[in-house]
Amino acid sequence: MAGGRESKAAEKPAEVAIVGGGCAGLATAFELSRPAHKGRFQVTVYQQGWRLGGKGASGRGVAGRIEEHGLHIWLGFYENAFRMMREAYAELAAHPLGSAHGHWRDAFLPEPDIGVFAPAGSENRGLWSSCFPPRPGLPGDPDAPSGREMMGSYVAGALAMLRTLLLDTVSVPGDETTIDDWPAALSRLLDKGVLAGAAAIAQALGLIGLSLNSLDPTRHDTRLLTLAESTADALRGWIERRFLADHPDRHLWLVAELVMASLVGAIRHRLFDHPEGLDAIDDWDSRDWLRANGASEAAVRSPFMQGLYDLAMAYEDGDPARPRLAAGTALRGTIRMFFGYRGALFWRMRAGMGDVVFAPLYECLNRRGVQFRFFHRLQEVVLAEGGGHVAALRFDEQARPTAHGDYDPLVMVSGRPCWPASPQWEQLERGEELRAAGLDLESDACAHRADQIKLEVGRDFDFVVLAVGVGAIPQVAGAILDRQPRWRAMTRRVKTVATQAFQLWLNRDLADLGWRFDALIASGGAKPFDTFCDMAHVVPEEGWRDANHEPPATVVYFCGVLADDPSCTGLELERAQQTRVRANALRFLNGSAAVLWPHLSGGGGGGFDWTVTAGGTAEIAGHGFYCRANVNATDRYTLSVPGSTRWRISPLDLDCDNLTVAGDWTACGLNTGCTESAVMSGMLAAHSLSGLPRLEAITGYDHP
Amino acid sequence: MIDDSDEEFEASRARRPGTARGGPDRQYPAEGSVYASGGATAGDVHDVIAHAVRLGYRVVEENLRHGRDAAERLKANDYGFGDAGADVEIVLHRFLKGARELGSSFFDLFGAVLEDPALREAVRARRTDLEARHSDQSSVGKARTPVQIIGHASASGEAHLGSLAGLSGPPEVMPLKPLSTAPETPPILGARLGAEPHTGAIAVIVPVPEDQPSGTYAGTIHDSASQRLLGSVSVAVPQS
Repeated sequence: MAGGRESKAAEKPAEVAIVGGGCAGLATAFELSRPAHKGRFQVTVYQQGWRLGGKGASGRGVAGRIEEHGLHIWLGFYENAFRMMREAYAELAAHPLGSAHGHWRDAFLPEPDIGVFAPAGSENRGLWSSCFPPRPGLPGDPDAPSGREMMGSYVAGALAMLRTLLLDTVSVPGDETTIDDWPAALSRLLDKGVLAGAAAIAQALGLIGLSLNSLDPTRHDTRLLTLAESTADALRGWIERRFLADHPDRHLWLVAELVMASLVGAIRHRLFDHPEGLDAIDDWDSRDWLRANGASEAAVRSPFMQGLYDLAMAYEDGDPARPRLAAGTALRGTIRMFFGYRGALFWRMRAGMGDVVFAPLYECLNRRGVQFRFFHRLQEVVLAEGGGHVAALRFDEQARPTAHGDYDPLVMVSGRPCWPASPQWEQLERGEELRAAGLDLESDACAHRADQIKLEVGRDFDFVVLAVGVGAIPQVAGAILDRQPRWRAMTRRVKTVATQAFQLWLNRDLADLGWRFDALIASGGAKPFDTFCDMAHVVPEEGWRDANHEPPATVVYFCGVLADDPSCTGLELERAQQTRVRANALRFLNGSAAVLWPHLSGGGGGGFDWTVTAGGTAEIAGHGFYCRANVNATDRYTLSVPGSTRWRISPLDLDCDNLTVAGDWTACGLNTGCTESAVMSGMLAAHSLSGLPRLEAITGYDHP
Repeated sequence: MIDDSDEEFEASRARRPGTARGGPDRQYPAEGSVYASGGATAGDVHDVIAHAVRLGYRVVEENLRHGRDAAERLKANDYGFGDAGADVEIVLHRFLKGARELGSSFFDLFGAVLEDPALREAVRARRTDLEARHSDQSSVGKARTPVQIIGHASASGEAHLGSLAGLSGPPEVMPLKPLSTAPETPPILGARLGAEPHTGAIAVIVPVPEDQPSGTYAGTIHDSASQRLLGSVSVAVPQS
């Protein structure tokens, strides 16, 4: 036997090394550890640092406060992610001792409202908000609609929505109706009726023109087409200038324009039966594509489009002047978001994502026999000569559990298992020394290690699932990049963006501070923190009283993209960006906060009054403020810039015969940076190793 | 890399199984599709369009006639102050009713197109006299489009861009070549269409290196799929 390796008997479980304990890696582990596999796989998850979750990790800090990477909201179409969580919660609850995590319906809370910040000068200044009614079923229910069924229903739903907007905005009195007070009647008609009628004509004629222009000229009279198109253009321009420019309800027609441009574009580009589906338009930027299909500049610049780009963090290099979002991916995501949700449009989590998602998953997987190796940072994927398979994995072991046993990563806060915001040093060899050194074991700049470990194929693993963030691929998979041009192209084309976030625990609720709207998720706001959410519901899950603090009235989360800083690297970059985020947050609070919360009084020097925050004084923030720069390679948010999705590597690709990949950066069907993409990718990775789950069972994978 | 010379191990080493397919099956199948079973015919579509256009003309015509009647009465001094309100109201009622019917007809048309594969085949982007006429018309007196220079502090630019409606592919800006005949003057690369940061209007964004030789550079803007000419851009780099 060479090198200590030995042939593994066929009946022994295949050892699967999953590198990376984020959503994708854990989804792979969840699939491969199913009882249906009958012990065919022995899974080990290798994770740097002390906690699972990757970009979705959260931790409990002072007074048990929840410290997140940013705002994590699940969408009602996350069928695969919800199915996994519901199964995990059910497995835990079936244990004779029950589960401290409770029922999944207690962990995920429906949120029907969404808002986008209205542009300055609009009549409805502040927020354009909408409440989306509940739809039948719950996400993760069996019998999720297939993509084939969904496209038809999406089109029908879009047309029905537009018809409703058009025909029901105002009721038209019959011709025989007599009206005594004609000035008042005229005023009413001008207020709503003419808008509806005028906008209807504008839309209808404009779109008839577009559609007629696309018909086969050999079958229709071109003179008719010419007349219709020129009439439509002239009338549309007149109506838009005359009636639509400043009307307070114009936002309804902006939505109508965007939907109609999407449908026209879908016909023009033959998306309903294109072999590539919506991928066919992924070289376009979303705004460019809508513009090319008849949407006005007002519509493509509308808060709705702004909100879409903000929610997707779609700014290349974190530059707000470079919004870039692949049109097909955006359209697919939008369609599924608004027409494919079950239950509610959004689902908030009861506590941090680490508490609600990764702690239950960890416990469920643990019970299934999945092993976890914390404090293992991958350094290199070593290929065999010829490059056909992975021969070894080199890790830095950042810290070692003490001789007492494995590392127990969870702590109890308010009666529930949670991830701490820092390692449990007392469980580690030289723990106090490491704590005193102030090491951040999740930081790219932290090179501390207790040991170096080399895992070898055949002895320690049979298969590798590379579930690290795409930003880490160049550092750890250089050998693969050297051999595989597609991997090199992928690391160049599939972009990521750094993000920034801060959380504010306030002693007064938002209504008291002058916020005029219901608690909801709002996007399209002032940069850099364009998305925010009132998360008052998580405060009871924190440990304020246990720590002898008065619980805050609420906590508000803000997030947005963070521009790269090419002037420095490593630890200097981390510190510079963290300082920058803090400064950004202070500037935001000293400026935009007064717009959001007009009853907020100023501090002694005219700046933000920190006494409104938990533990704050007039000029100093206490424990009621937390901010974070997400700059580590594995923390950067995955983008879908135009022209990039074709370069994604799929977990089904066979570049090395014992390797697959998993992550929201892979070709997973949805191709966006989100939890659902990560879970789909993990399921694909499991399929690539085991043949299960069937590809048809991955909801949305075959969606057009 | 590791020298894998253990042939026995290599022969028995676990390998990934093959997969039935390597990616999503995105194509909407004709079989079982909600669009597969017959629907409107080309004739029906023509009728719907014709009806919608006739309706539009009728709305306009009726209002014109009503307005003409009112004008005649005015000329004949047979028009009271109170008549104006009723006339306007009648016009608006008819306008609204017609608009609702017109809009509703459009959606009927849209639905008919979507329900028939043969019609969808007929609905395609085409290069026609109409499009060509649009291109010609749009090439005359094109609106000036802002140019945003990135990098060079003194360079300035000018661009003319026609309508972006009906594109087959993303718009593409070709390299800006120097107008001078001086050899080895590098072109300006990387220009693209984007949004002017303050107004959000479409702009041509041109990265000009600080050391770009002085001179005038020009390039064209195309539809990257059909090669249809969309416009042009020029940049002047002054002598430093």
